[in-house]
Amino acid sequence: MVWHVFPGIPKNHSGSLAKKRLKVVLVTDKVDCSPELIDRMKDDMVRVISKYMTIDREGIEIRIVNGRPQTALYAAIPILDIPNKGIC
Amino acid sequence: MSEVIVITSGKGGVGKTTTSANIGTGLAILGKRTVLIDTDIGLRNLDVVMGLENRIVYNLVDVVEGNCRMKQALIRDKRYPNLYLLPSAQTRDKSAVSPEQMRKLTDDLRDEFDYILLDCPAGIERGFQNAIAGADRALVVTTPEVSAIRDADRIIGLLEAADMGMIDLIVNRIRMDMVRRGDMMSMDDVMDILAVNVIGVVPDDESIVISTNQGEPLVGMGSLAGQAFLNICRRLMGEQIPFLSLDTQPKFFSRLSRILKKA
Repeated sequence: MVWHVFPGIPKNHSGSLAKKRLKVVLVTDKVDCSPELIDRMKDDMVRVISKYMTIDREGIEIRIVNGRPQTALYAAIPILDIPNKGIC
Repeated sequence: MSEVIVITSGKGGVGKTTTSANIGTGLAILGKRTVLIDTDIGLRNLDVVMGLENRIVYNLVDVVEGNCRMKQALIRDKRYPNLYLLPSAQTRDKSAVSPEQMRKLTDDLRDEFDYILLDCPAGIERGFQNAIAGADRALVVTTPEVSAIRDADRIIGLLEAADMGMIDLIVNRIRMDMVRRGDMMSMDDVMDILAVNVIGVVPDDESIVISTNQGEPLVGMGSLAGQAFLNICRRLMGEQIPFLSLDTQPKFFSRLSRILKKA
Protein backbone atom coordinates (compact mmCIF):
# COMPACT_ATOMS: atom_id res chain seq x y z
CA MET A 1 0.00 0.00 0.00
CA VAL A 2 2.96 2.31 0.66
CA TRP A 3 3.58 2.38 -3.10
CA HIS A 4 0.22 4.06 -3.75
CA VAL A 5 1.08 6.85 -1.36
CA PHE A 6 4.72 7.25 -2.45
CA PRO A 7 4.82 6.25 -6.10
CA GLY A 8 8.43 7.42 -6.36
CA ILE A 9 9.78 4.56 -4.24
CA PRO A 10 11.15 1.76 -6.46
CA LYS A 11 9.12 -1.44 -6.23
CA ASN A 12 10.19 -5.05 -6.35
CA HIS A 13 8.60 -6.19 -9.56
CA SER A 14 8.49 -9.92 -9.00
CA GLY A 15 6.33 -10.27 -12.12
CA SER A 16 9.06 -9.06 -14.46
CA LEU A 17 11.62 -11.14 -12.59
CA ALA A 18 9.43 -14.20 -13.20
CA LYS A 19 9.27 -13.36 -16.91
CA LYS A 20 13.04 -12.98 -17.18
CA ARG A 21 13.68 -16.26 -15.35
CA LEU A 22 11.15 -18.07 -17.52
CA LYS A 23 12.72 -16.86 -20.76
CA VAL A 24 16.09 -18.24 -19.70
CA VAL A 25 14.71 -21.52 -18.39
CA LEU A 26 12.62 -22.21 -21.52
CA VAL A 27 15.67 -21.84 -23.73
CA THR A 28 17.91 -24.05 -21.62
CA ASP A 29 15.09 -26.64 -21.28
CA LYS A 30 14.91 -26.96 -25.03
CA VAL A 31 18.45 -26.57 -26.16
CA ASP A 32 20.35 -28.00 -23.25
CA CYS A 33 23.29 -25.92 -24.37
CA SER A 34 26.00 -25.02 -21.84
CA PRO A 35 28.05 -21.80 -21.99
CA GLU A 36 31.13 -23.95 -22.71
CA LEU A 37 29.44 -25.43 -25.74
CA ILE A 38 28.52 -21.95 -26.97
CA ASP A 39 32.17 -20.93 -26.57
CA ARG A 40 33.40 -23.92 -28.56
CA MET A 41 30.87 -23.17 -31.26
CA LYS A 42 32.05 -19.57 -31.30
CA ASP A 43 35.67 -20.68 -31.77
CA ASP A 44 34.70 -22.89 -34.69
CA MET A 45 32.68 -20.13 -36.30
CA VAL A 46 35.56 -17.68 -35.92
CA ARG A 47 37.93 -20.17 -37.53
CA VAL A 48 35.70 -20.69 -40.56
CA ILE A 49 34.64 -17.09 -41.09
CA SER A 50 38.17 -15.71 -40.55
CA LYS A 51 39.21 -17.47 -43.77
CA TYR A 52 37.04 -15.03 -45.68
CA MET A 53 36.88 -11.85 -43.62
CA THR A 54 38.37 -10.11 -40.63
CA ILE A 55 35.95 -10.21 -37.74
CA ASP A 56 35.83 -8.81 -34.23
CA ARG A 57 35.94 -11.90 -32.08
CA GLU A 58 35.17 -10.05 -28.84
CA GLY A 59 32.12 -8.40 -30.37
CA ILE A 60 30.41 -11.65 -31.36
CA GLU A 61 27.01 -12.10 -29.85
CA ILE A 62 25.37 -15.51 -29.86
CA ARG A 63 21.82 -16.01 -28.68
CA ILE A 64 19.43 -18.90 -28.69
CA VAL A 65 15.91 -17.55 -29.04
CA ASN A 66 12.85 -19.46 -27.96
CA GLY A 67 10.25 -19.35 -30.70
CA ARG A 68 7.51 -21.19 -32.50
CA PRO A 69 7.62 -23.35 -34.43
CA GLN A 70 11.41 -23.37 -34.14
CA THR A 71 13.98 -22.32 -31.60
CA ALA A 72 16.65 -20.36 -33.48
CA LEU A 73 20.33 -19.58 -33.10
CA TYR A 74 21.21 -15.96 -33.76
CA ALA A 75 24.81 -14.91 -34.26
CA ALA A 76 25.80 -11.27 -34.74
CA ILE A 77 29.39 -11.14 -35.95
CA PRO A 78 30.92 -7.68 -36.44
CA ILE A 79 32.99 -7.50 -39.66
CA LEU A 80 36.13 -5.37 -39.45
CA ASP A 81 37.34 -5.86 -42.99
CA ILE A 82 36.69 -7.93 -46.08
CA PRO A 83 40.12 -8.37 -47.67
CA ASN A 84 39.13 -10.03 -50.96
CA LYS A 85 36.03 -8.08 -51.86
CA GLY A 86 36.07 -9.54 -55.36
CA ILE A 87 35.57 -13.07 -54.06
CA CYS A 88 32.68 -12.24 -51.75
CA MET B 1 -19.72 -30.70 -37.85
CA SER B 2 -18.31 -31.98 -34.61
CA GLU B 3 -15.10 -30.99 -32.91
CA VAL B 4 -12.97 -32.97 -30.47
CA ILE B 5 -11.16 -30.66 -28.02
CA VAL B 6 -8.61 -31.73 -25.41
CA ILE B 7 -8.10 -29.60 -22.30
CA THR B 8 -4.55 -30.07 -21.08
CA SER B 9 -1.80 -28.30 -19.11
CA GLY B 10 1.18 -30.46 -18.19
CA LYS B 11 1.23 -29.25 -14.61
CA GLY B 12 -1.43 -30.45 -12.22
CA GLY B 13 -3.63 -28.15 -10.18
CA VAL B 14 -3.93 -25.29 -12.65
CA GLY B 15 -7.66 -25.83 -13.22
CA LYS B 16 -8.02 -28.29 -16.12
CA THR B 17 -10.99 -30.10 -14.64
CA THR B 18 -12.78 -26.92 -13.55
CA THR B 19 -12.16 -25.45 -17.00
CA SER B 20 -13.46 -28.62 -18.69
CA ALA B 21 -16.60 -28.65 -16.54
CA ASN B 22 -17.35 -24.99 -17.19
CA ILE B 23 -16.63 -24.99 -20.91
CA GLY B 24 -18.63 -28.18 -21.39
CA THR B 25 -21.57 -26.76 -19.46
CA GLY B 26 -21.26 -23.43 -21.28
CA LEU B 27 -21.37 -25.03 -24.72
CA ALA B 28 -24.45 -27.00 -23.65
CA ILE B 29 -26.12 -23.80 -22.40
CA LEU B 30 -25.39 -22.26 -25.80
CA GLY B 31 -27.36 -25.07 -27.41
CA LYS B 32 -24.54 -27.39 -28.48
CA ARG B 33 -24.78 -31.12 -27.90
CA THR B 34 -21.74 -31.69 -25.72
CA VAL B 35 -20.04 -34.66 -24.10
CA LEU B 36 -17.35 -34.35 -21.45
CA ILE B 37 -14.90 -37.24 -21.18
CA ASP B 38 -12.76 -37.69 -18.08
CA THR B 39 -9.55 -39.32 -19.37
CA ASP B 40 -7.77 -39.33 -16.01
CA ILE B 41 -7.99 -43.08 -15.41
CA GLY B 42 -7.29 -43.88 -11.76
CA LEU B 43 -7.78 -40.30 -10.54
CA ARG B 44 -11.24 -39.33 -11.73
CA ASN B 45 -12.57 -35.95 -10.64
CA LEU B 46 -14.67 -34.44 -13.37
CA ASP B 47 -17.67 -36.35 -11.97
CA VAL B 48 -17.47 -34.60 -8.58
CA VAL B 49 -16.81 -31.17 -10.09
CA MET B 50 -19.92 -31.68 -12.24
CA GLY B 51 -21.91 -33.01 -9.27
CA LEU B 52 -22.67 -36.27 -11.09
CA GLU B 53 -20.66 -38.67 -8.92
CA ASN B 54 -23.74 -40.53 -7.65
CA ARG B 55 -24.93 -41.46 -11.10
CA ILE B 56 -21.95 -43.45 -12.37
CA VAL B 57 -22.71 -47.01 -13.45
CA TYR B 58 -20.23 -47.69 -16.25
CA ASN B 59 -17.08 -45.81 -17.21
CA LEU B 60 -14.67 -45.11 -20.06
CA VAL B 61 -12.71 -48.35 -19.58
CA ASP B 62 -15.97 -50.35 -19.62
CA VAL B 63 -16.82 -48.82 -22.99
CA VAL B 64 -13.35 -49.47 -24.42
CA GLU B 65 -13.33 -53.06 -23.17
CA GLY B 66 -16.84 -53.69 -24.48
CA ASN B 67 -18.41 -54.35 -21.06
CA CYS B 68 -21.23 -51.97 -21.96
CA ARG B 69 -22.53 -49.89 -24.83
CA MET B 70 -21.59 -46.22 -25.09
CA LYS B 71 -25.19 -45.17 -24.36
CA GLN B 72 -25.14 -47.05 -21.06
CA ALA B 73 -22.01 -45.27 -19.84
CA LEU B 74 -22.99 -41.74 -20.79
CA ILE B 75 -24.55 -39.81 -17.90
CA ARG B 76 -27.05 -37.20 -18.99
CA ASP B 77 -26.88 -34.03 -16.93
CA LYS B 78 -30.49 -33.36 -15.92
CA ARG B 79 -29.81 -29.65 -15.46
CA TYR B 80 -28.71 -29.20 -19.09
CA PRO B 81 -30.43 -31.34 -21.71
CA ASN B 82 -27.51 -31.11 -24.16
CA LEU B 83 -24.82 -32.20 -21.72
CA TYR B 84 -23.38 -35.67 -21.11
CA LEU B 85 -20.47 -37.03 -19.08
CA LEU B 86 -18.41 -40.12 -19.74
CA PRO B 87 -16.71 -40.74 -16.40
CA SER B 88 -13.30 -42.27 -15.94
CA ALA B 89 -12.50 -45.52 -14.13
CA GLN B 90 -11.19 -45.13 -10.62
CA THR B 91 -9.80 -48.61 -10.00
CA ARG B 92 -7.69 -48.95 -13.15
CA ASP B 93 -4.64 -47.16 -14.49
CA LYS B 94 -3.63 -45.27 -17.63
CA SER B 95 -2.44 -48.41 -19.42
CA ALA B 96 -6.01 -49.78 -19.50
CA VAL B 97 -6.59 -47.73 -22.67
CA SER B 98 -4.44 -47.12 -25.75
CA PRO B 99 -4.28 -43.98 -27.93
CA GLU B 100 -5.84 -45.95 -30.82
CA GLN B 101 -8.77 -46.98 -28.64
CA MET B 102 -9.25 -43.36 -27.56
CA ARG B 103 -9.26 -42.20 -31.17
CA LYS B 104 -11.95 -44.75 -32.01
CA LEU B 105 -13.98 -43.75 -28.96
CA THR B 106 -13.97 -40.04 -29.84
CA ASP B 107 -14.69 -40.79 -33.51
CA ASP B 108 -17.70 -42.91 -32.49
CA LEU B 109 -19.10 -39.90 -30.60
CA ARG B 110 -18.82 -37.48 -33.53
CA ASP B 111 -22.18 -38.45 -35.02
CA GLU B 112 -24.04 -37.72 -31.80
CA PHE B 113 -22.32 -34.59 -30.53
CA ASP B 114 -21.24 -31.12 -31.64
CA TYR B 115 -18.45 -30.93 -29.08
CA ILE B 116 -16.47 -33.75 -27.51
CA LEU B 117 -14.31 -32.39 -24.68
CA LEU B 118 -11.50 -34.43 -23.17
CA ASP B 119 -10.27 -33.58 -19.68
CA CYS B 120 -6.60 -34.61 -19.81
CA PRO B 121 -4.61 -35.87 -16.81
CA ALA B 122 -1.52 -33.97 -15.64
CA GLY B 123 1.83 -35.14 -16.99
CA ILE B 124 3.17 -36.02 -20.42
CA GLU B 125 2.99 -39.79 -20.25
CA ARG B 126 0.43 -42.34 -21.41
CA GLY B 127 -2.61 -40.50 -20.06
CA PHE B 128 -1.64 -37.39 -22.03
CA GLN B 129 -0.96 -39.40 -25.17
CA ASN B 130 -4.38 -41.09 -24.80
CA ALA B 131 -6.19 -37.79 -24.33
CA ILE B 132 -4.68 -36.01 -27.33
CA ALA B 133 -4.90 -38.98 -29.73
CA GLY B 134 -8.33 -38.22 -31.16
CA ALA B 135 -8.39 -34.44 -30.66
CA ASP B 136 -8.74 -31.85 -33.44
CA ARG B 137 -7.90 -28.98 -31.18
CA ALA B 138 -6.23 -28.31 -27.82
CA LEU B 139 -6.85 -25.83 -25.04
CA VAL B 140 -3.78 -25.42 -22.84
CA VAL B 141 -4.61 -24.18 -19.35
CA THR B 142 -1.96 -22.31 -17.41
CA THR B 143 -1.71 -19.92 -14.48
CA PRO B 144 0.58 -16.87 -14.44
CA GLU B 145 3.31 -18.72 -12.54
CA VAL B 146 6.76 -19.85 -13.69
CA SER B 147 6.18 -23.56 -13.05
CA ALA B 148 2.83 -23.69 -14.86
CA ILE B 149 4.10 -21.68 -17.85
CA ARG B 150 7.22 -23.80 -18.16
CA ASP B 151 5.06 -26.93 -18.30
CA ALA B 152 2.64 -25.27 -20.73
CA ASP B 153 5.56 -24.54 -23.03
CA ARG B 154 6.60 -28.17 -22.94
CA ILE B 155 3.03 -29.31 -23.63
CA ILE B 156 2.68 -26.91 -26.56
CA GLY B 157 5.89 -28.34 -28.02
CA LEU B 158 4.52 -31.88 -27.68
CA LEU B 159 1.17 -30.89 -29.22
CA GLU B 160 2.96 -29.28 -32.17
CA ALA B 161 5.08 -32.39 -32.61
CA ALA B 162 1.85 -34.42 -32.65
CA ASP B 163 0.44 -32.15 -35.40
CA MET B 164 -2.40 -30.80 -33.28
CA GLY B 165 -4.59 -28.70 -35.57
CA MET B 166 -5.22 -25.73 -33.30
CA ILE B 167 -3.64 -24.80 -29.99
CA ASP B 168 -5.09 -22.05 -27.79
CA LEU B 169 -4.14 -20.91 -24.34
CA ILE B 170 -6.33 -20.19 -21.31
CA VAL B 171 -4.69 -18.09 -18.61
CA ASN B 172 -6.43 -19.11 -15.41
CA ARG B 173 -6.47 -17.55 -11.94
CA ILE B 174 -5.16 -14.16 -12.91
CA ARG B 175 -5.26 -11.54 -10.17
CA MET B 176 -5.50 -8.07 -11.62
CA ASP B 177 -4.59 -6.39 -8.33
CA MET B 178 -1.26 -8.26 -8.39
CA VAL B 179 -0.71 -7.63 -12.11
CA ARG B 180 -1.29 -3.92 -11.53
CA ARG B 181 1.35 -3.70 -8.84
CA GLY B 182 3.80 -5.73 -10.95
CA ASP B 183 3.77 -8.86 -8.82
CA MET B 184 2.09 -11.14 -11.35
CA MET B 185 2.72 -11.73 -15.04
CA SER B 186 -0.01 -10.26 -17.23
CA MET B 187 -1.82 -11.92 -20.13
CA ASP B 188 0.54 -10.08 -22.49
CA ASP B 189 3.59 -11.39 -20.62
CA VAL B 190 2.30 -14.96 -20.88
CA MET B 191 1.47 -14.51 -24.56
CA ASP B 192 4.90 -13.05 -25.19
CA ILE B 193 6.64 -16.03 -23.59
CA LEU B 194 4.52 -18.84 -25.04
CA ALA B 195 3.79 -17.34 -28.48
CA VAL B 196 0.36 -18.96 -28.87
CA ASN B 197 -3.11 -17.49 -29.23
CA VAL B 198 -4.89 -16.72 -25.95
CA ILE B 199 -8.55 -17.72 -26.14
CA GLY B 200 -9.47 -16.63 -22.63
CA VAL B 201 -8.37 -15.16 -19.35
CA VAL B 202 -10.14 -16.30 -16.19
CA PRO B 203 -9.80 -14.26 -13.02
CA ASP B 204 -9.00 -15.85 -9.68
CA ASP B 205 -12.46 -15.92 -8.17
CA GLU B 206 -13.57 -17.42 -4.88
CA SER B 207 -16.92 -18.30 -6.43
CA ILE B 208 -15.06 -21.11 -8.26
CA VAL B 209 -14.32 -22.78 -4.92
CA ILE B 210 -17.94 -22.44 -3.89
CA SER B 211 -19.18 -23.83 -7.20
CA THR B 212 -16.84 -26.82 -6.95
CA ASN B 213 -18.01 -27.44 -3.38
CA GLN B 214 -21.56 -27.54 -4.67
CA GLY B 215 -20.83 -29.57 -7.79
CA GLU B 216 -22.39 -26.90 -9.99
CA PRO B 217 -20.35 -25.27 -12.75
CA LEU B 218 -20.68 -21.46 -12.57
CA VAL B 219 -20.37 -20.69 -16.26
CA GLY B 220 -22.72 -17.95 -17.34
CA MET B 221 -23.60 -16.94 -13.77
CA GLY B 222 -22.98 -13.48 -12.39
CA SER B 223 -19.37 -13.93 -11.31
CA LEU B 224 -16.46 -12.69 -13.42
CA ALA B 225 -15.09 -16.22 -13.78
CA GLY B 226 -18.51 -17.42 -14.97
CA GLN B 227 -18.58 -14.70 -17.63
CA ALA B 228 -15.00 -15.44 -18.66
CA PHE B 229 -15.83 -19.14 -19.22
CA LEU B 230 -18.94 -18.32 -21.25
CA ASN B 231 -16.86 -15.96 -23.41
CA ILE B 232 -14.38 -18.79 -24.06
CA CYS B 233 -17.28 -20.99 -25.20
CA ARG B 234 -18.46 -18.32 -27.63
CA ARG B 235 -14.93 -17.88 -29.00
CA LEU B 236 -14.70 -21.67 -29.47
CA MET B 237 -17.87 -21.41 -31.54
CA GLY B 238 -16.15 -18.84 -33.72
CA GLU B 239 -17.61 -15.60 -32.33
CA GLN B 240 -15.42 -12.54 -31.88
CA ILE B 241 -15.78 -11.59 -28.23
CA PRO B 242 -13.56 -8.92 -26.65
CA PHE B 243 -11.69 -9.84 -23.48
CA LEU B 244 -13.40 -9.02 -20.19
CA SER B 245 -12.22 -5.94 -18.46
CA LEU B 246 -10.90 -7.46 -15.25
CA ASP B 247 -10.08 -4.09 -13.82
CA THR B 248 -13.08 -4.06 -11.53
CA GLN B 249 -12.30 -4.96 -7.94
CA PRO B 250 -13.04 -8.71 -7.94
CA LYS B 251 -13.89 -8.88 -4.24
CA PHE B 252 -16.33 -6.02 -4.48
CA PHE B 253 -17.88 -7.53 -7.59
CA SER B 254 -18.46 -10.97 -6.14
CA ARG B 255 -19.78 -9.51 -2.90
CA LEU B 256 -22.20 -7.34 -4.86
CA SER B 257 -23.42 -10.21 -7.00
CA ARG B 258 -23.94 -12.34 -3.90
CA ILE B 259 -26.00 -9.59 -2.27
CA LEU B 260 -28.06 -9.27 -5.44
CA LYS B 261 -28.63 -13.01 -5.55
CA LYS B 262 -29.92 -13.02 -1.97
CA ALA B 263 -32.23 -10.10 -2.62
